[in-house]
Amino acid sequence: MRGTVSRAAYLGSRMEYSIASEIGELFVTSPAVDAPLAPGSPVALTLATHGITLIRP
Amino acid sequence: MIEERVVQILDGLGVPYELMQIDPAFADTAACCEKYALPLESAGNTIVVASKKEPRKFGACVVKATRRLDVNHAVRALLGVSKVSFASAEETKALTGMMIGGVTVFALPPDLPIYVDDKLMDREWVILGSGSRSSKIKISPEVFRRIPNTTIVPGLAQDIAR
Repeated sequence: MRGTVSRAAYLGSRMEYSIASEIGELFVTSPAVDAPLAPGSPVALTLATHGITLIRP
Repeated sequence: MIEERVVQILDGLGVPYELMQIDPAFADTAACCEKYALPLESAGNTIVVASKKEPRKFGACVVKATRRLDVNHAVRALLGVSKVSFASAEETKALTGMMIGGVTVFALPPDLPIYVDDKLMDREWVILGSGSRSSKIKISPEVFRRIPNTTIVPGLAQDIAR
């Protein structure tokens, strides 16, 4: 699924992203802080092999 | 309680501030900014870093949420160590007494050096943690000039590349 980074926040050991996608706004965290994605960047979304993580809304 | 201690220190610094009560579920930066319509550019995250070698040497860095800490150059040089990493959540809690998502520069151990990215000083106000996940502090960045053991550092962080 394709999407676009709408927000990117740096938190040291991880990045937090809001991703605009065809199914709505998605919240994604990534440990890849060395190559952060800027707002406006196009991205492709896949599910991690360990599955999804549920968080409180 | 850490939040009360933070407020006590803030009152002593003499810079007007607003203590914003928030839903703890939205304490993390991106979620908080989205929920309360705050600009990410004004969010100042306090990140605890540590030398990799023992004895561990710690420091606290404050950067905009839109900028990435230059750990391998600026922070390493400031701490005077060969390798730096991020303190774990457990180390951060043990060192600061604060919860992840609420870590702030106020009420840190007095011997912990604090480094502030100079780009934060451009903002009219910044949003900082309060020590807990249930509130944030809205304050002028001038407060950084009044916190002991604090250095405002040009080039501490870099913009997230577009």
